[in-house]
Amino acid sequence: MNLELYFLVSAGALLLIAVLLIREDLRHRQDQDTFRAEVASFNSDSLAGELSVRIFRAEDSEFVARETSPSVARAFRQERTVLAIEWLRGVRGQVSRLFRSHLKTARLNPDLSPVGELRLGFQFLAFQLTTSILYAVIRIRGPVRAARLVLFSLDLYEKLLKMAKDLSPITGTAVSAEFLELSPRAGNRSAVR
Amino acid sequence: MLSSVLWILGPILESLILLRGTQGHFLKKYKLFYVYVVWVLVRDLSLFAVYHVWSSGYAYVYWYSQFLSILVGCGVVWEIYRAALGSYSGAARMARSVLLFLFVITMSRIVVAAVTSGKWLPGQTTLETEREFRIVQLVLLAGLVALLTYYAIPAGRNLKGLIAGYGIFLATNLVQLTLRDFLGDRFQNWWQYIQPATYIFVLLIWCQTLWSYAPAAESRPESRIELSYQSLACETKKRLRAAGNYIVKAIRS
Repeated sequence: MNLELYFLVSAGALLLIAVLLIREDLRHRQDQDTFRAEVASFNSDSLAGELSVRIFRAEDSEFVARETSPSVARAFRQERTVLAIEWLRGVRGQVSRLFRSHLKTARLNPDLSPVGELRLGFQFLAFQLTTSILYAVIRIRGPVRAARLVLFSLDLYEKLLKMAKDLSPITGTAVSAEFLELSPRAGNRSAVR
Repeated sequence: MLSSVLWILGPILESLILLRGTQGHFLKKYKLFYVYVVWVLVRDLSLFAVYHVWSSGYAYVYWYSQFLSILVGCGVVWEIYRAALGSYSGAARMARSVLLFLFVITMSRIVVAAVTSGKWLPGQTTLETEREFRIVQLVLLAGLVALLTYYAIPAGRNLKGLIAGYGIFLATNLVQLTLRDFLGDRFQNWWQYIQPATYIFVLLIWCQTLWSYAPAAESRPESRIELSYQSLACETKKRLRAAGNYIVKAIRS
């Protein structure tokens, strides 16, 4: 009975996808030049802006909370939340555009490596997933508290990584290199730009 | 009366699809698809004759020819792959790997079921067996469509019609086979109308989308590869990491 229902629901879902696909117009645009343009804009755009650094700092919020009424402080926090969300959306948008142009270039390349593509796909998915969680946390707790939570998680992650490294030096190093370069070394600006 | 109308309508529409393909000189462009249409046309006409001349053998001929239909139907999936990815060697390479993986996974399920059943059939009934093979086709088609969407491969009207028509055909077939298996004879009365009606709907989609030759826009040759795949992948990987680090750095500062 359950198996029957499973087939029924799966087929229904696939049918829905097929119907949606009829309506969707898959558009085709430039490939190689787009990728280069995206990489260039990625290098020069808001990613390197100084603004982002201030959004998550607690000093401004503390100052406003100290010097003004609670309603003004609340309004300030709300503004900062909106700003942080917009900033994050911008970063995500840039990464998505870059990845889309990568796909448009890769689809024509006869040397494409399926394993490499899968890895990149997972990396992109992991980025989207992590930033989605961050997005939700910022929305619920505000940028300052979200930053505290992220820092706490990062510290915990680094401790766990260190423990893993101590237990198995080779695996630990490989894992830390593969994921985001989150160790203090990764904080240097040259790695970002 | 209604079932007779539906029965007659099928070969008429199939002939119309073949006629338009011949008139427009694009039969060769979608060879395997037209082989499938010719096969179902021959089968429909033969079944009609068998039903009236040798009604006791109808079920026997129906189910055996149905398995051949499934086999020829695989050609439609292959045709979609060929037509969609012919000019996209990178995406085609990826598709070959993904589809092979999906095929091995779904087929091994069937093989295991067949070996353990004792009858060398994956299902307890012919109906279940057909459903198992339809699932393989549907999974392959879904995987292919997912890849086309992932790589934003442009599809012309013909290709969209092939995908939509065969996708709807497979999905509705699977729903009907499941309901028929689950509800038994209660569903039989409905099935004799629903099955040909959905098939007529699919044929109408094919008639409309394959009325004339409308391929996808070719990818422009001048925009083709200068960058090696390794450098492209490295560049993208580097940027993804940079974005991740950038967010962490903004929060840390």
